[in-house]
Amino acid sequence: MDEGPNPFLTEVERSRLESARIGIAGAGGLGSNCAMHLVRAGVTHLTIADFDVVAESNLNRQFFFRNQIGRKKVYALAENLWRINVNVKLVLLPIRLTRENFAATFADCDILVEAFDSADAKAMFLASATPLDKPMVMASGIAGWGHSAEVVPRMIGGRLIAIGDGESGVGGEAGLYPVSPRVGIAAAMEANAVCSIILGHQF
Amino acid sequence: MKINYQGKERETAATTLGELMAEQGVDAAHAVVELDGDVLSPGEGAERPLAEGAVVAVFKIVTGG
Repeated sequence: MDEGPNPFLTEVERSRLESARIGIAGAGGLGSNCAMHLVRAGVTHLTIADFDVVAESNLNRQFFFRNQIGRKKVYALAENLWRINVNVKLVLLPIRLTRENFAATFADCDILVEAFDSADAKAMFLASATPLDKPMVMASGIAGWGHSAEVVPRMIGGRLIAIGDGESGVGGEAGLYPVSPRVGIAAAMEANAVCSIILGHQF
Repeated sequence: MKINYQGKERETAATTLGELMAEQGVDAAHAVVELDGDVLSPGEGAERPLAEGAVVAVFKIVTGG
């Protein structure tokens, strides 16, 4: 039997990771890299929603490749995830998530990951996801360089794990922009938080 | 009145959460606020009264991802 990309898993860990259904809102810097980490870890059910297409500027941090420019991100990401584990089951939605379609989109998911870029979309995620009574993972304050130790996970209210420094936004007076190392740290931390929830470890 | 804001004791003239957010310069539409253990989604709870000793934690939502 194909044991997937993570042969180190115990039977219990494999069973839990393969039973979990993870919803990822956004397939950009956070979502594409978070999904990659989850699939490498052994997660096999993802629902991914994003309306956008791959652009050249995305290659500075997102898990896409030059030959995928112009393609819908969810389909390009699926191709890349299947190169890691061909048995991953993906629900791919090339749609713009809204307050109206959010609950139906992620109805089957056990854990929800906020992986948007804009502050407005992140706020929409929280307003839409909070009433669904599922564990949530989000990121805010991840632009710029350095300050790795300030990209921390914190539990807010027992059901939301928020990652980032909560300050370093794109633009602003500092003129920050998103780059692979710091966005990648946050995406990996989001995936690590999801796995910790699934496996019952300290986040 | 004294409250605990972001883990530190602080004097405030605000009597509601909305007033406190304005006093602290927080964009409440882009923040998750924990007030005495209750988690409030962005923009929610501006009318919530603040009592002496209230514990308020704010996580700002900024662009980037």
